[in-house]
Amino acid sequence: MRYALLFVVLIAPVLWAQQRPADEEVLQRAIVLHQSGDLENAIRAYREYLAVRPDSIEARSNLGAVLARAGRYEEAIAEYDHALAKDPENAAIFLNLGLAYYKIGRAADAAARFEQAASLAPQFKDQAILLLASCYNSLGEYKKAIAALSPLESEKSADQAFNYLYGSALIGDGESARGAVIINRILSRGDSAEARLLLGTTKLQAHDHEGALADLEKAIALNERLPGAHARLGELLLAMGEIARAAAAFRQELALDPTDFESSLNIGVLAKQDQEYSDARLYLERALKSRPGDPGVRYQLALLELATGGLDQARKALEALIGESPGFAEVHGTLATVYYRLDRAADGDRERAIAQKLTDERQAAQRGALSRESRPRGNQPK
Amino acid sequence: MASLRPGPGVLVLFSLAAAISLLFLAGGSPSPIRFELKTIPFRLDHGEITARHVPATMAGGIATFDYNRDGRPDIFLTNGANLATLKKDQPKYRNRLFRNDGNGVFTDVTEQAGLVGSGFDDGVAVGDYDNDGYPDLFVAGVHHNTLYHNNGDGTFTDVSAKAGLNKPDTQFGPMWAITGAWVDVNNDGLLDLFVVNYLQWDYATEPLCEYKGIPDYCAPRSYKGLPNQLFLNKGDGTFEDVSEAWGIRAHVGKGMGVGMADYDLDGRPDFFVTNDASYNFLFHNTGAKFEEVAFQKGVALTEDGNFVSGMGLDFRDFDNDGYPDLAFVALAKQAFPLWRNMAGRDFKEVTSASGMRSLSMSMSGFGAGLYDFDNDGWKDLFVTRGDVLSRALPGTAVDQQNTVFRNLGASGRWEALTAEAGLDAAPPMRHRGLAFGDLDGDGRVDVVATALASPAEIWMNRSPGAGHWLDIALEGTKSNHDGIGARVEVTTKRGKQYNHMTTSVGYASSSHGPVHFGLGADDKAESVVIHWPSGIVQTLNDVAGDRVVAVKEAR
Repeated sequence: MRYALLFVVLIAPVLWAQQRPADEEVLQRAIVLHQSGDLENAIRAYREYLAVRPDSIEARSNLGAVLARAGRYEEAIAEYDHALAKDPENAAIFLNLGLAYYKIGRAADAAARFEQAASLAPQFKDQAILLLASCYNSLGEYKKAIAALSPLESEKSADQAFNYLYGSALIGDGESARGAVIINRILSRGDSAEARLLLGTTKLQAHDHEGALADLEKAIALNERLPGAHARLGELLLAMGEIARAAAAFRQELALDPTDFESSLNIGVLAKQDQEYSDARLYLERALKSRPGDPGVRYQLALLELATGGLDQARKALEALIGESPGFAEVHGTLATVYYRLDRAADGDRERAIAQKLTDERQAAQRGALSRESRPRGNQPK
Repeated sequence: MASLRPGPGVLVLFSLAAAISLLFLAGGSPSPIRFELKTIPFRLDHGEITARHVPATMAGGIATFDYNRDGRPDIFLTNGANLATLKKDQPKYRNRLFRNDGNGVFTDVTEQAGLVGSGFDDGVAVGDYDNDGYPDLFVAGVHHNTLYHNNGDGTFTDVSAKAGLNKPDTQFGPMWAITGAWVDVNNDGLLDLFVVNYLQWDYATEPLCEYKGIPDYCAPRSYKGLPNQLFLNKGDGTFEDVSEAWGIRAHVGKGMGVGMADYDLDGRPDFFVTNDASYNFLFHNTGAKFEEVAFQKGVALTEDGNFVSGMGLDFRDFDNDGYPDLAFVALAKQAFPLWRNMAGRDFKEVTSASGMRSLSMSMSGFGAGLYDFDNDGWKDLFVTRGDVLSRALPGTAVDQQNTVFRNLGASGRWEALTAEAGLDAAPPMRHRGLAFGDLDGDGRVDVVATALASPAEIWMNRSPGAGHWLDIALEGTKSNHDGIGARVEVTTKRGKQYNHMTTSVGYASSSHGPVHFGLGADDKAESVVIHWPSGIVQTLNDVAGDRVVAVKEAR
């Protein structure tokens, strides 16, 4: 779930004393253009200035900021990196770099920069922690988000953004009771889209589909641009078997945030099931960009290779996955199929046996847990 | 209508419903499928008690078969027992045999037939194992299987002990069989028996599972699985357990259904076994042994690599390309998987591409059968629906109505018909078994379905404007008497279609009808080619439709 952020670009108005008057005029013009919103001319002016003074950290950082404001995040990232190479302890640039990564959905990269910003500059710590928690939530790393946010709970309990992030993390981690406390805290200040989204998410996890539908539809009615609301509605509709409506909801989410992981993954899987393989690849690769290395997405991409006859590509992808996640039974099972189709029967037999063993172990563990929880049966009334 | 020019051994049995079939308008739009509900006095008593024991939710097998050879399919229904004792200690638990007397009259002849039963019975498989012309019954159950020999005089004899089919396993003890399949695996002219086993279960030690504090049936992961079994028919009324030698025993699963078809057209019957939340099995027959090739052929798991709760199935050609395809049902949120057979090389899942995923995603199914209900030349899919649990979890309906999925032909798409097909005439229930047969001889395939703690349903096919039809009733001479395993290819002006003789269809059920074909606007088949299990190929030309044609295997 993505935290709705307004980020402030840090523009440096300070000029170097030793600058020549002509250069100073160019930089001043760039800043004025930037502040007035004339982004293209501002970019041009910053670049003109940097052609003369390539080592100016402030101009480089400001160019990154104006590029980010223009939605040219990849270019912005390059400028920030350039600036950090000259000033590797500049917390403000780390924060802005993190924001640029955040905006293109590279949550893991963003999180790393926010961590840096928080450690370098205490004045950015609160803002960085909220951003960091948002990244963790979008990466599904709810425990990390809880660990980051819980020390701030007493001081930020009136902060709706904090409550929303914290509630999302708790509910995502399955801590429904603690999540409910946060939802009540949000609701105590009146009905809100964010509270409805959290309620809907909680009910979805509890398989209360009707309740979840009511809350999610209400969340969207209150704020149709609320990040994550359409994605969650899509997940619910998928669980209800409403595939066409689910796909429409995921597409709405992607229209608001093209980097949303769950929506990209689900649209990719649905496209693969419909044998629309080029669409499937496009969306699954988008999902992978949002969560680099995600084993679930990589498995789906391997299945896509298998479905399209790319046996060798599927084999390589599955072998790599097994190298990192040897306990992923389904991957072993699919790799067995690939080996058999490549006429590598012995390898297929081996992978199949591993898949079966892992599955048996998983089920035995579940049986063990069950027997510990189960009550002895007595004479039961009919 | 062209005159019938029978080939060797062809006998026209009867010609009914021609008048109805003539209503079919050539070139008109495909006719919708409609059913009318009838009931028979049978209630499935499955032994459900407050603390749920899992066999209670798996009951409900049916057989449709003409036990007295009067030309009308009769109905046999299995029933439960006291689960604590596995005994039918009350009359309500009796199995039932209903004789079809015609005109919609079904008479309970259970007692005189000797088919009351004694234990908790689940599935049933029909096959004439001794080639005497009278179909026999194998009844699968919890820790107890029964083989009934049809004496040909309206009575049956329990020959389980002599046959050697009911011995406790040396490793697993008494096993729980869901169903069986009669197939001549070695093409020696004698039907062999494949038994599908489910879970290791014991009344005293079964875990008690609760959902929000309320007991309900445990998931399959709560139990260990079992291997299936293969018994070779020795021709003297006894059977030999060859499960190990034939490569079956090595594969432990949680079997729920079995379908038989020669998927690679090598002349030997193969098996597909659905497992409950585990890898499916595809047993490829090499002539002296089965090799399990589900992974190789891409049918071990569904396209997303996930386990589904595989239930009942059918293994027949639904796209008319001559290769048997796979359709089975599963629980809600899993969809009903469809696999197209790619010329015997492997299978391609078309669950989404066919529209079946969207149509079935919210449904839970138990039984599935591919029959052409509107006789348009394309096999449709009838599904008995209902959840495995007894109390609804949020987002899941336990009681459901049955659905027929209409095959929309060359488009590869399907259409779901529930109320549209009249299937809302019965209330939503936990439906289980289903079997097929033309109960009133009108050329339209009827359906029998069971539901837990509910009366059995007979769904009479009243599809208006159904097409012409042709039923091929096989009689093997060198092959097994039932002709099980024979492939039949019918050619009409509009093209070819394919089917094969099997009684293994649905869930825990068996349908011993003739091999059915819908001919659409064509009132005759230009040719009928039968590939017998013996290898003999028999061709009939210019076969008039709207009749049952009996074909005796040429020697």
